[in-house]
Amino acid sequence: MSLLNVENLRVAYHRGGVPIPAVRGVSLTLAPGESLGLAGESGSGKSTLAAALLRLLPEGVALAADRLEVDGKDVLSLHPRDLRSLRGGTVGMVFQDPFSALNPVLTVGDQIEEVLETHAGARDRGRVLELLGRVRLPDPPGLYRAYPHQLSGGQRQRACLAMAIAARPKLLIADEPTTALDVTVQRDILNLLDDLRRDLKMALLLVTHNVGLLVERTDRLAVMYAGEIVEVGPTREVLTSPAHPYTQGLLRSLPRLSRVDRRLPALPGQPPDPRRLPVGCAFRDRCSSAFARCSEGPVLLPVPGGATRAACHLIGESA
Amino acid sequence: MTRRFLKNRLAVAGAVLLAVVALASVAAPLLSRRNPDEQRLTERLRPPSSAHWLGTDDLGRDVGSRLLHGGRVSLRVGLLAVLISVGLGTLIGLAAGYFGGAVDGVLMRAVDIVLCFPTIFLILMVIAFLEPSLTNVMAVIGFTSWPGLARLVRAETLSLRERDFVWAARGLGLSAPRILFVHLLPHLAAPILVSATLGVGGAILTESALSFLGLGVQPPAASWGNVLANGKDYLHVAWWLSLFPGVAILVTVLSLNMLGEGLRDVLDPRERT
Repeated sequence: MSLLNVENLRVAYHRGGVPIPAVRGVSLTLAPGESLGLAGESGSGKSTLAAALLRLLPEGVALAADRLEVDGKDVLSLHPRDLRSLRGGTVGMVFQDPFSALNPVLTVGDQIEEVLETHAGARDRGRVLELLGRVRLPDPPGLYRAYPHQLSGGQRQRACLAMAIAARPKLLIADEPTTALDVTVQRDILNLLDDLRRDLKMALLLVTHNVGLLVERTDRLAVMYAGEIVEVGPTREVLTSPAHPYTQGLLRSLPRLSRVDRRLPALPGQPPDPRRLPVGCAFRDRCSSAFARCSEGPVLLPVPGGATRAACHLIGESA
Repeated sequence: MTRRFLKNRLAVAGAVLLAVVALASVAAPLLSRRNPDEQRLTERLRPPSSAHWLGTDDLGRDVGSRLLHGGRVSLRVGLLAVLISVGLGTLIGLAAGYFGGAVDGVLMRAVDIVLCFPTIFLILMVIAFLEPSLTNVMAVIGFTSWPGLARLVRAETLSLRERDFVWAARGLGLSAPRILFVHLLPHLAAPILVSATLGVGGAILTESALSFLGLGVQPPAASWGNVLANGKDYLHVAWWLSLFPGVAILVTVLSLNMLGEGLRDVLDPRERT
């Protein structure tokens, strides 16, 4: 049975009565222990999708789905009490900015301990110290009493990670966990995330706009564009032979050491305004291979010769 | 923080004045040589002298003793009334700001309704129905003075609840009471403290006004308000009966306001220039 089962999930913000779709019909599944990278540029809806899995959306944001199940529970109809035990209990979450995700007036130890108290029912200082050691923070007893401002960015993100794994979740959602950090610290945090996932046998949903970080770190990779998944498959396969023109363009724009002298090819144009999406394929205005059929919306189809699925009419053409 | 407080002359002056008043009131039994209620009809309406520093009233009671003991009443009324109003205002403001929607609508309409009535008339009406007593006065002042703080706390909560750490707390499944009282409340300490300090001054004034009108603390128990009220009948023969309680009220309320304004400057970085 899959741990995460999402079918046709839709999220729309409203501004002045006009709905602004952020996630437009996403389906995905995640098996226990599996790791999935969710990549896309800013505004592609990847963070909204991650938050929607726990119904962690501001008031007035419309969330709908044909199916939204986490660990066999229907998230959309969950009682508030059960929703709380899902958040932080079954599913741990790490946020983008460790500088603002910790409460500045409470000590690190207190903040981890209250997650334990919420989900395990007891304050347990020993367990907090163990967690601090587990995320490889030096001097757990000292950090237990420290306030967030006394920690570096990387240390804070480790503390956030300790909070996220405190209740031994089955799924860890990490929303751009390294974006706010120094490049040298990014790798440490990702390695730690990897190790924790293996040790604790958690599934991982890693949201990032930096596809390069996902190499060798996630089993599968989903690429989002304008609120839809345009390509999803085994990470290695998607990265080496991308099927969707958007994924191809995204990967071409990554810097490589073997080509330092050349200008990086960038995708032409801008992401579409979510209020005025093109009819059919949302990418067709920027796509160099667009043709007549692109005015009909493509659906995710298996790419011949692999396990990848991509939402592009070219796949049907070449077959 | 401490250094900034000590640099603020207004706040320090207010704190020192208030400390003097509070200490004098607390130590009233030690400082006053006479029982405040003891009547000596042979010593009526004596002006200030070495025997009675602040003179005596129409029943020969020592005004100094009565003011010292009255200070205990006034400060107690002020503190307890503010405790009620701060408690209510904080709870209501937090709930309205955090939960929003219908909860916010209902609570803020309640605020509007309470604010509709001129407070002093509302208090007069309630006291007229209940009997005037120390407890009733405290309760009525407390239950009518919370709307201002409720609005302040609500406004702060509205902006706090969108902060990342509150989203993170929600995302980790923390309960609403825990988010409200453990995560949000400490961030509201400054505005609440300032409002409470100013509120004590306001409550003391209201209590004095009520006692002056005979609806507050009932004689023979002394409070600044009823000593002053008693004095007004003898204004042309015994000025000390009115002057000294007036000065006591003035100094106390002034010191609280100075402390409150000073604290606002010290605690609120936005209002610093």
